[in-house]
Amino acid sequence: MMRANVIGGLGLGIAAGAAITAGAVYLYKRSGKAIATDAAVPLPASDEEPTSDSTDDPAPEKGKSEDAWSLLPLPSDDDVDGDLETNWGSTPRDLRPLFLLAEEVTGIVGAGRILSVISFGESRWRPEAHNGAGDTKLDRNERDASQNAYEAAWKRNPPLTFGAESASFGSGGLFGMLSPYFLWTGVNELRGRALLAAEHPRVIFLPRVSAFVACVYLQRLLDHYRVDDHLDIKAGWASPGYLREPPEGGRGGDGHQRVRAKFSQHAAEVGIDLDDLSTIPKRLSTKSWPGVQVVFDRLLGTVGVA
Amino acid sequence: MNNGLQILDCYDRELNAVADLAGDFDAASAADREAWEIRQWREVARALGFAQQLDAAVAKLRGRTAGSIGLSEAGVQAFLHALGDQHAEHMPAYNLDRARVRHLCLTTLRSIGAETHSLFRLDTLSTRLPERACYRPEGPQPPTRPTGPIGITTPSASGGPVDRTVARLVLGGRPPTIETLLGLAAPSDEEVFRAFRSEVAPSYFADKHPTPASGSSYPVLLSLGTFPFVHGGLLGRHAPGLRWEAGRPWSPAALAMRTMVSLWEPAANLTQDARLVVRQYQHFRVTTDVVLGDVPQWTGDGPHTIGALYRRDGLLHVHQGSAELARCTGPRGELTAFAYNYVLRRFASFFAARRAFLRTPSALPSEARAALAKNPDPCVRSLPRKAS
Repeated sequence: MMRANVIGGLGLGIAAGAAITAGAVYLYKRSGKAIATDAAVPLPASDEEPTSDSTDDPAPEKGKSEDAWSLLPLPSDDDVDGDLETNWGSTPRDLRPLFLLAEEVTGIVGAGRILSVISFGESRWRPEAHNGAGDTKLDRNERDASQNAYEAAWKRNPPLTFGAESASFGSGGLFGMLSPYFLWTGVNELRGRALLAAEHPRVIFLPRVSAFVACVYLQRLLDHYRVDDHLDIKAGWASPGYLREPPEGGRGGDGHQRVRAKFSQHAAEVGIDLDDLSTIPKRLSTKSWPGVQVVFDRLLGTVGVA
Repeated sequence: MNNGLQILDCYDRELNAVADLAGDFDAASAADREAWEIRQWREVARALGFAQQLDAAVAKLRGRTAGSIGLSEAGVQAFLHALGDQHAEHMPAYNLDRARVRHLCLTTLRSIGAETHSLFRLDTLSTRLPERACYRPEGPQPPTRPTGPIGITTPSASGGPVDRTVARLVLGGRPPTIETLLGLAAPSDEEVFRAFRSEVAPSYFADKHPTPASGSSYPVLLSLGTFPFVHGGLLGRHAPGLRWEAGRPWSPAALAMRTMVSLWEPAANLTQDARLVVRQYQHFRVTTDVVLGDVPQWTGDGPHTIGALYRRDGLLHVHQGSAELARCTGPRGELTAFAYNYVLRRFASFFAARRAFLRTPSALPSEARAALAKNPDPCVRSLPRKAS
């Protein structure tokens, strides 16, 4: 079902003499630890079994708000106030308002361009990017990663309506998120309530939903980890462990350096100058962070509040 | 609005629907016409990335006796401002001589286009243009940056395609050709480059050109009505006209933009032989239909696939994704949803303006009526008389 939904939509058909490549899937290597809930902010414990595992009722086919959210258009120029033209490099113009809206709703100045570079690296700006739908080693690794993530956290987190699907989903979307953690986003800040817990993991492909999760994750990185510069943001995106000191973490190690270098390379490829202080401050700040619920409401309206 | 005179039916019955993409206006009302022009400018600016500069420029015009000339110039200035920024991010190595030759050629091309009623898409031999539309790569470097900083980033580093609009022509040491004997080619001891891509191959704008390109004698084919998508074989993510660098006092992109928007105004619009535009549009529609044949129609009730391409309200729509990234590749080249929509909207603007102007010919300025009277198009030549 998932594979058909995603991959089926990518092949737009072959007309005579014409190969249509609108939806090439960009695969990317990621650590299975991405989007992990970190030990610094303990998650609330829960002994409840996940809904989809504990009931004999047939599972619903769709999440609570998937249909409504899929009808929300991408943000447009009219939805943002800031600069859509300076230091965006080759970021597609029709995606810039989404990244900028993420910046404006979070109050994290400079976040839009950082998120664009992250999205370029993770998905080449393809919202339908999916690792886990195929049978390559990478797909299997991503499915293993989401399975491990699910098994490691389901007992302490609220149940997911589509727990089994989430566990076998892998990762994807604009920002390369790992499915179970994606659906548990906000659980710490909202005292055990996860705004996406009733959703099917394929909402990961909806750019606004994906942007919401990216905003929360960015805020968590900035607030709970040592982030020395913009390159460290991507290191934390790959694995929060890279931001911890050794021996517990991998700060300063090869992996940490490799991710940092790659992010720098991606920024150059996109044409976003990470040192342009007129658009990206030297350090991103969460001092104006309005809270998870407000970010959710402003990106997705009031539709689908769990 | 009542279409009244269905002039576009004279060419192709579907053109009214195409024109509707740009909206209608009452040409007898200056305010209505200006509001329509602002809408066209906003569409162009949004697509090309200078919407905020345009809004600022339009805001400055408020309170003045704006008029379309003021609006056009403000729009071009906003475009130039943004272009400077884009050049900083995307431009390959700077070449002032290429900008100079392109600018001079475009100036001549505008005159040729007006004379031949073919401003929308120009087709002429380079030998009719200044310096045979060729430039010297070692041309003088600019003393100052013309419009913002100019980057030295490589095309691949900026994500854009390699500029293939020029072909190196080394003529030295070769036996004289008929062109050189007739004085049509560049001097034989010079190394020059073509200032424009010679698009003789079949494209989404036309079939194969009958005249082959040979040295500095080559067909110059520019669709200025769809600027900056000036070549029918380059309808990808990056519009080639945006890569025309500037250097004081040369600014070919600004000149081309002025030409494109002039087609929204009565005199230039009515000078154009619409049959040529219709032919180009029909070719575009037929050849793009080949590569878009399997793209489904958008239906309001879905289901819709994220990242997939749909036909929606006459345009291409990418569900929850970027139209810049959604592309098809056919024998006539790459075609992005972004370029397709942009080009179709420019056809729409031309036909919408033509329809509105012909609906009220008696309200046209004298210059426009004179242009109409000289237009060889049988669909329009008798109209002023009929209307009066």
